[in-house]
Amino acid sequence: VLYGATAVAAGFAAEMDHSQHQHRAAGPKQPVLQRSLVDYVLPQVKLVRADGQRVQFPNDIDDGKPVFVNFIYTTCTSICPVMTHSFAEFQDSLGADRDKVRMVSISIDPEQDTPKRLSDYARKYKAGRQWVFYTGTVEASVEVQKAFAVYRSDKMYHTPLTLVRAAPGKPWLRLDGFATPDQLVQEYRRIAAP
Amino acid sequence: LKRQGSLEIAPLIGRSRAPPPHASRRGEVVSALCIIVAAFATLAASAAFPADPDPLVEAGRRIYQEGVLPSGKQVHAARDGGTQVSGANAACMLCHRRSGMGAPEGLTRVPPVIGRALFDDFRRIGQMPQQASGARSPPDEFRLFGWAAGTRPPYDDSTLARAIREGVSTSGSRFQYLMPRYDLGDADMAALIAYLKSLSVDASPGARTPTVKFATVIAPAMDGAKRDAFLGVLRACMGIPRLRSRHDRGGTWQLQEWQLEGPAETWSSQLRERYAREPVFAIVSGLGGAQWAPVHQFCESERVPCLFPNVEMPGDTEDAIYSFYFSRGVLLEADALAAYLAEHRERLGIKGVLQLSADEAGSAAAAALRRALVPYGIETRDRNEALPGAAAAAVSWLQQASSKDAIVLWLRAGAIEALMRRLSVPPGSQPVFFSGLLGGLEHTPVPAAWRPVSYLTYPEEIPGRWKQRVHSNLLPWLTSQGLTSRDERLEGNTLAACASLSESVYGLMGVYRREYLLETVENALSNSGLGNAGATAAFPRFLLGTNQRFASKGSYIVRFAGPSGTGLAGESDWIVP
Repeated sequence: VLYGATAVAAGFAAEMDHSQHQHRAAGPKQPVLQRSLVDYVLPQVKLVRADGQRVQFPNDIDDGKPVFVNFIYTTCTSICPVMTHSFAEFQDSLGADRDKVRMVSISIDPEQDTPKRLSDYARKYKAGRQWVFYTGTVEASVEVQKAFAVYRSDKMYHTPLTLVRAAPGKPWLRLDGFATPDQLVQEYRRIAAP
Repeated sequence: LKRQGSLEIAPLIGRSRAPPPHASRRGEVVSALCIIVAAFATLAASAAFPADPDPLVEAGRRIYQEGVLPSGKQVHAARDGGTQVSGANAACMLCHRRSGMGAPEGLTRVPPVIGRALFDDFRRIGQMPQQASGARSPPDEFRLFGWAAGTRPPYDDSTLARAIREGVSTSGSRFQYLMPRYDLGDADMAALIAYLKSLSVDASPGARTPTVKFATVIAPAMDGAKRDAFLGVLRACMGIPRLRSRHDRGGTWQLQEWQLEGPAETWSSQLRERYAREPVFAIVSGLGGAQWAPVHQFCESERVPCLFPNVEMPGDTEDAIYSFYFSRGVLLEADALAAYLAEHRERLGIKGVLQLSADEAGSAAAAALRRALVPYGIETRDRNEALPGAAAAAVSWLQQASSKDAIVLWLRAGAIEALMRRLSVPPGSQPVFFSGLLGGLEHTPVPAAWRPVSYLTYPEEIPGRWKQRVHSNLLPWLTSQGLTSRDERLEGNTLAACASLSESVYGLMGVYRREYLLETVENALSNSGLGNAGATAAFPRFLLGTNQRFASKGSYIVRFAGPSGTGLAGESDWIVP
């Protein structure tokens, strides 16, 4: 278990299971996600979008479409690029359906991630208009992180996670672990054709 | 604040974990050959990435750091589920870092991939040193090289190649999702493995003797009282005995004081000469003004980590690797002011900006404000007058301000006083902005008649909250060291620089590699809020992340509360431009 004995979080457990030894020839294996349904109450805080607009956060994502949320920071070199890459491929896989969802990436390092840096980052991953990046004050960002139960005081200790909500008022599906593009597409299909 | 108050001393004295008498010593088993390879690796792990003299190692370095194969093609890799990564996005360095020492990441740890961690046998669970209490604790290699290195058989070239291609360790377990499976041919794999073997834990210059050498840099002609306050704190902090991890060689710290003389063009050769005489492992803090670029360039070109000098303006830092700063200084003030003017232009009734500066720092700030206002269509007119001499010319310049111009004064206290003697009332009712950093924060000498229209940029913690921190964290420490406070912000920041070094060096766990120090500095300051090392820093937050080099990123805009005194009121939000 090369990534260390502290890797006990749900979602990693299966990969520590020696029964799963297999070579790539056995076909692409999907990482294990821990799924849970949670009713999160989002705080009425203002966040700043990558386009510089200051918006009331919950309202800004409540346009009726399914929402996919992750938490990133632009100088993170390991976990975040993987999650962002997944969102980018998810967006590509959706094709014309991409405008039927809303994708949301919230910075957990808001003072570093100015709107300018976030929009550069969004451009690098070819984010379409349905994919919005948010920053804001540290206080607002922390409040949103706490509302989604993802807050850690040290950003180096953040964990991979995606949150999915079918529609405003519905509970959030929390996916702990690395969600692959295929897994995100599956979640979308479940929502689109229940 | 209570939390900070109870923690402020901890990083300075190290953790209370005394080395056992039979401490395992690092480096004794390293063969002469490894030392030669390590010397090359030191060259390779540089800012400019000069080619390694061994073509195989150099080819491996490019795969590791850049994701480029010897053929010039991109490295390709795939994660479970089939997601592809390539090129720079597949570079090993992204996760395993420049040092090869890995990093904490989420609830896991990206493991070290330096030669020793992969190829040495660390399965010593049954041979843990017994402590006096009878308890057994794992050897430091466990923490340094990850639990994995202590629980799996060591790699050889063939099992490592299999691990990199197929994601299976020598104990048979699969790697986590984050680690992709690399599509590397035999020759490319040999190059990468040669590079990993070249990654060393052998000490960098300045740390090869039991006494670890550090330096601080002081610019010429600094104010004597400031210099005394600065050196008092730094000498006391650097002189505190440090308990080391038992993996360490023990020893003490030595602080060299590099006092620069003469014009800035000669500093570079002075620094090189001091360094050639006696290399230092890192440079801790420093005292200077607007000119710091020669020191910055020295740090980058000699690859010496330089932590948090007290300066008004950093060097050119877009691609800085080795230099850490408290903030961007007056350049940050300019950008924050631009954001403020853009947001409040209608309320303030302004269409343009008229600027006055009197020296290098001021004119650099004026230029930065001019650039930052371009996207908002706010035009600036700038003038540099050598105050206090050219006060008459400065006055006539300010009288050219229209009622729709904000006036921005990038002036030091002496220049402001010279100007105000000739212009006791402001030229009109338009807003006037002073640089807090140059003017002296709340001590900026703004006369009563100017105060109703005046604003101050304030890129530090405001006095109320700062005073609390001084009383909880700074003064108790100064008292414990027999020091009297003379300049609280300078002392607090200098102590924060030293505490950051202390905490980062502790994080090295005895691996005195400069590139690894850069990473442990980032880790030590990755906690939101002030964290431990920032307990006495004069900023609302003291925070870094991977590859970040400025610990404080914003500024307030404040006003004076009354016609006299240093009281402030009506501060803006913390503006992060």
